[in-house]
Amino acid sequence: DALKIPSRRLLRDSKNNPLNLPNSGRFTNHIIMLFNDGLVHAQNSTFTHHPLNTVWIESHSSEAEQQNVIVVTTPEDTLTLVANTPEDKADWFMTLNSTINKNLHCDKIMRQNSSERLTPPLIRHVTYTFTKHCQYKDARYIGFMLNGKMHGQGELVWSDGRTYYGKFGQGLQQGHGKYTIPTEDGLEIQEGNWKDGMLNGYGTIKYATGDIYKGYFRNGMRYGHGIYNEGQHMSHSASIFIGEWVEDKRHGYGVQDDILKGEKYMGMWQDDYCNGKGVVVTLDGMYFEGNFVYGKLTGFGLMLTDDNSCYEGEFQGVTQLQGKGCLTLPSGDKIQGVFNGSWNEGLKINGMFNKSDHVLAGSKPKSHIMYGKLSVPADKKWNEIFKHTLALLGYLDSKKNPNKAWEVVAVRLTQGQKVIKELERRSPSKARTLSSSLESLQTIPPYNTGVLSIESYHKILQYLTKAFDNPYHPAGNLIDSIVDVFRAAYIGIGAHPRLLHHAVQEIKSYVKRMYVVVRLLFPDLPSHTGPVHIYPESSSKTKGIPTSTESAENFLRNDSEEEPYEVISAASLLYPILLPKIYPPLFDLYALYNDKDDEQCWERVTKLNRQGDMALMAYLGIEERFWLMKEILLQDKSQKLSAPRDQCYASAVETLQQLSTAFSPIEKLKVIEKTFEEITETVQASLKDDHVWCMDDLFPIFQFVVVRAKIRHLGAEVHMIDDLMESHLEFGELGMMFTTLKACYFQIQNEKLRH
Amino acid sequence: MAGQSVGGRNYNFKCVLLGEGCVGKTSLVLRYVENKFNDKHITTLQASFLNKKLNIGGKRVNISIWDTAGQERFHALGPIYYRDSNGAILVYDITDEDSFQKVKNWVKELRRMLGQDVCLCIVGNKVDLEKDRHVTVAEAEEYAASVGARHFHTSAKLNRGIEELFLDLSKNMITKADDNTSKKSSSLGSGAGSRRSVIVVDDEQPTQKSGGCC
Repeated sequence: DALKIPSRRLLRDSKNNPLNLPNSGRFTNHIIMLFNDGLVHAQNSTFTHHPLNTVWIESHSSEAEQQNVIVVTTPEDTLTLVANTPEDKADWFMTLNSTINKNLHCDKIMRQNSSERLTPPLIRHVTYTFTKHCQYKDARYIGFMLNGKMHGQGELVWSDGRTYYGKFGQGLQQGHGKYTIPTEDGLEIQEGNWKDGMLNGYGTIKYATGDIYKGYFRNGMRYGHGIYNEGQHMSHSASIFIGEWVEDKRHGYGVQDDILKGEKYMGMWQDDYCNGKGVVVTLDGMYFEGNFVYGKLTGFGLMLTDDNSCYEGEFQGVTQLQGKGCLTLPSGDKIQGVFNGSWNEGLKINGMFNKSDHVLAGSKPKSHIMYGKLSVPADKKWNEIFKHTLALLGYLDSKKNPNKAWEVVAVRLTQGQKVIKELERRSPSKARTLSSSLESLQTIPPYNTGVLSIESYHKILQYLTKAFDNPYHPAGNLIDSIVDVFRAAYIGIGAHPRLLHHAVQEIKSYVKRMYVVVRLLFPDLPSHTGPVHIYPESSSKTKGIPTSTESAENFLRNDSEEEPYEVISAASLLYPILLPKIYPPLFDLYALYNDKDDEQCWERVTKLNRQGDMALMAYLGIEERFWLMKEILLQDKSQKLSAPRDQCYASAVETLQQLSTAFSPIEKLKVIEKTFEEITETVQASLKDDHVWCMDDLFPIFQFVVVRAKIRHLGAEVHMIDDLMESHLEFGELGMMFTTLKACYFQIQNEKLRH
Repeated sequence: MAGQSVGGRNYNFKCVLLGEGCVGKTSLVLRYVENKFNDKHITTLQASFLNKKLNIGGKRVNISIWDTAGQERFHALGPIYYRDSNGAILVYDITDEDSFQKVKNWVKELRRMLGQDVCLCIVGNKVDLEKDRHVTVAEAEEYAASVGARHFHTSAKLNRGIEELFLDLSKNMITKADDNTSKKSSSLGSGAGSRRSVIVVDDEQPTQKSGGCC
């Protein structure tokens, strides 16, 4: 019949050497035939041919009831065969094994040294076409199999063009893999981590429409934190969503950037709709805050326009005012009543007009009572990102174990090394920097000694700085995600002065939550984020610090002995790491917020700078003995005309100019401190006497330096330090210095210019 | 929450020094400091910023003394400096009636901006020049009492009355801080116990004319 092929030889069949299927019906007639290239299972008039390289056999004689059993496993079938006698079984078994072995060697795939083996290897490289499997029907598999199941590296090609290339396990896609699906519109590519035949964990899908999703999956669905790019830039319905997903739907906190409409939503989602607290900003400077119900701003909300009109009241959609409310005009005049209509197209108002009694002069977005209260609190934003890292490091386990967290770190770093090795071929220089960074992370500072000294703190700080810079370290991974979401939120339409407050709150919240992660790795760090004093190792106090119950008790201990100490806090540890990475968008917000004031200040500074050193010093009221121009003053009067410019206090001016290139508040404060030191040095070098500063003398000189330093966004700089400076510094010398800078800014801006 | 009592037993106070240019406020603090500290403890800002640690009845107190520029043209900068202060030392020259008027202006402004939470100390300096006195003792002490401030006579030159001044001020600030803490705990939740208990958003960005920031 159909099985007759010239090269095929029948080696054995169940007619001559009985082999039965247990539990087979009375009327079915099973015949098992072994050919030199396959095992045939004939049943009545139909038969199945199993190529021998995908046949695995196993003897099961130990079971009490079923003696002499041979289990035959093929990718899609399992046959349980029973021989009459143990001898028969052994016979079959031997023949099957040797034939399978022969087959495998014909294919020349197995290694030579295995020829001596009696049993064929469990793992084989095979080519197999599925016929029945629901998921893999008509797919051809080329790759490794273990006992009838796809296992290890392999490739699946479906007859309809779908392909999967990657890792398998337990007969399903498992591990890293790439799945390509041709559709009418083009290719859909799913790449990432697979488990149980579906995307699970981090992955990307490039849809045929051009949409891209990058983020986490669960059971093949978008789940957890992810970014969805819809449409091409500038095309129809181009949008970017970044945030939380549940079962392919936007759900949780997320930011949606609608590029075409010029609108950005930052708030809660449910079932793919904006639902809950949220903020909308538009390209034309409008700001909305309120509650969303199925995609629509509904009920009480707040609207602020870029000309400082403010509406607090009921909405039926963004820009659609409907219901009771109060509109405050830029002049301060108020209209209270019932509103109906669209802000852009005309409003019907039934209400009362109140003339404001005082003139509001303001160039800045003003604060409003409801501002920031109807939106999502910063601590509730981006939880998935932190949850993911914490879960990775074992935070959710009942017993937090730093050793376990470090094990995870080690695994991650090893994975990173593998990636780098692959990268080496493409860009050796990049690989080199990455691998040296990985190497330096191999030495872990002592993390669980129960004691924190200045020395060990610095080691930890050093390590963390590197770890947060390395994309393979969980910490680096975390900060990359944070930078991504921050940029997604506050770049483009998000560069909106009214979002500054939200951005600052978010940064403070990041630091708080990042610190939890850091403490998982370094339990020696104090448990609360506030300022804590630490001392050198040799200090007697080091022993006395209980890290777990660390509290304000240590703050301001008896310092009469004047031991060297350092004050540390979550912010002082993490700002210098985080802020440089998000500095441009953050500073843009500050610059936008302070734009008008800075413009005004800049005008003044430019005007003041037209004067020569001497004129400016006289103008600012600096006492003559601090002019430091004795030689010049003694010179001929005629020479005074070509008065020196930009010479006095040049080193201090130069120092202060570095303010803009310092990224964290503490670094900026250090720049200010350095400026004061330069001033003092300059004066001391010149006057030589034991001069002691008082504010009366110092202030004008500092103002001179500030004017000469010509800092373009001085107001923004001041505002930023003000927002992010740690409160424990405020009363200290740095706080005083900063206050003096602030006062200079105020003075430059507000002092009447005399001519 | 920058200052005030931390943990109930340690105090961190900020104290501004206000007064006209030539009343000798700098010499006042310098005298105070020179007696107590050796040179290396003088800060970068020298007499403009001084830190003093005291132990009063087992309570540890750290006072930061902020000098201000006394020139009239810098008057508007006051709020930037005295913001969040626990105490203010207002210095006048007993030989200069005008400087006493200035002090009165400062007191009015401080009471308006900071309310009753700030401890005020009015100081008549230069008592070594008693013969040139233009501000009578009675007038000054009466005024001080009327605004709820303490009054002291000092001489930076003779080092008189200075130690007492700072000791008394510190005790006052401790009492006030303790009051606030207990008030805060009794009216827990209202958050109005102390002006520093909440970060008030419109706590004025002094750099802005409009006053409000987000």
